[in-house]
Amino acid sequence: MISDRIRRWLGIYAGVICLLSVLPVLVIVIESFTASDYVVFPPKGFSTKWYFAAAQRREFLESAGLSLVVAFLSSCVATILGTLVALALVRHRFFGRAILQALFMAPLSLPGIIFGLALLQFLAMHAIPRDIFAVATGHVVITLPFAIRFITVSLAGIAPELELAAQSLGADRWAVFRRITLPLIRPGFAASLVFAFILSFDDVAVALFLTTPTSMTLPVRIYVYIDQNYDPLITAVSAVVVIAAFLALAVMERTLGIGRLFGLR
Amino acid sequence: MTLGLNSFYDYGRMTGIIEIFTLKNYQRLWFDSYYLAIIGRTFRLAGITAIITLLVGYPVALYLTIASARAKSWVIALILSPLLISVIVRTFGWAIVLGKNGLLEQFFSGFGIADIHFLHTEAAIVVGLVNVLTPFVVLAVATSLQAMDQAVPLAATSLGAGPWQVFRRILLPLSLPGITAGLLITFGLASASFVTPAVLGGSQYKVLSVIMYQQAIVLQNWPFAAAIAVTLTLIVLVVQGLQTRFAERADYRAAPQ
Repeated sequence: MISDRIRRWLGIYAGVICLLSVLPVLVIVIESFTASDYVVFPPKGFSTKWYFAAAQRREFLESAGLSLVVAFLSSCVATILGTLVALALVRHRFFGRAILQALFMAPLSLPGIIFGLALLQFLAMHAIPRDIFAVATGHVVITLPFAIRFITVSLAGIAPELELAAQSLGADRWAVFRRITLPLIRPGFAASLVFAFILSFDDVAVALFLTTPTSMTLPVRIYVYIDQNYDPLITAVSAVVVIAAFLALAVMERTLGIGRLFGLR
Repeated sequence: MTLGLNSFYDYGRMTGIIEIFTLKNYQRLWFDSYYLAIIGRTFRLAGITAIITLLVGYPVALYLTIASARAKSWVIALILSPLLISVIVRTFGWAIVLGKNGLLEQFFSGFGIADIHFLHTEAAIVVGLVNVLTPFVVLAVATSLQAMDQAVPLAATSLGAGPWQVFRRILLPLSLPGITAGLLITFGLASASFVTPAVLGGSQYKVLSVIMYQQAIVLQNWPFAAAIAVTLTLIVLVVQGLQTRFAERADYRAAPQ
């Protein structure tokens, strides 16, 4: 189909693009070890002083903790809700099913920044305080479509006969769900948890509108800092985030396979 | 939950600090030359970004269809992994590369071209956006190329078609659904992107999402911010409508075969 020469050039090209796509992340990690007091790349000297400087800034630690809590809350809620919705959509035929499905997928097409503003005005209108629960709620909405999708995909892969067989052998509905369905959809369940967690932990657009100076998630804290300063401190903070993300990625690739998650074989 | 979302979304439209129905905000946004320029700039940025992202991503998707299993998993991992890292971190990485005394400026001064600046230009934003959006194009195009019967290009080659002909007459038409989907997805995402234009564009470069944020948070003019949000949503919805139309057309054409 394609000659070796073209294949080789395409390979080189793909390699260059891959390199460019991870370049900014590499730059951040390398720059975080600079010994200089200003951002200059390649870095001058080697030191870990910016890590110590970052660790002494309490607001970053607090924001990191807050982000973890929000991501944990919203990924759990989104995955549980997603499982329930996916079960209803896949296993039952009812009036308005298609409409409901479309509605649950709607947040996917709404840019985060618009949703953030809408949620802000909604909360203000009903005098609901902006706290971490508000942020977590926002994140549940934006991650729910992914949760539903992952779990729907794994549900579709189960032969309904398995559930029927269990039922005919005397298992009640809860037992069927707990003993048959849940173990079978575990990959989708895990994918949904991890993906929702990452999505929530990385989100700037929604959280930007919902956080207050006292309750700021880490990406928003980074954004606000960059907006006003330009020094290597933030590269150290970012590098920690990057390393954490790559650990999560490695675990995910081992257990699930990234490509499969996105529908690529 | 989504119903709730839609309803307060409607609300956002006309919630005034003074609760009187008015079209003043839209008049200001759509007929004032200052804001019209911003709308135009948003469109231009999204358009340029979509086209460049497609050009960057298409060959990678093509490579995925012919690569060995090992090379393929590497490329997929490297292309998709940035998706797991916050946009703000990646964008700041570009700010370092493109910024004052950054890699690129040093590269150019090595050739004797000093006094060239990238940060806070439209080109910098496009670079950042293309980087963020490339995975989406690769995914869209690769999925449509995978759906193709792998024997088709082989058959064309055996009938005497050269590589260029195979590409133009076979691969390009068959991946058209992926191309349109990729273009429209990137256009939609780019037009509503906030972090990248805000960080790489500097305070002088304004697109809809940036002025929306300023109106809402800095100036506290929520009705006007809501008008901007509705306008942005309209743009995104129109783009999505087009996407669905194209997808349906592609299905229709594929059906008789």
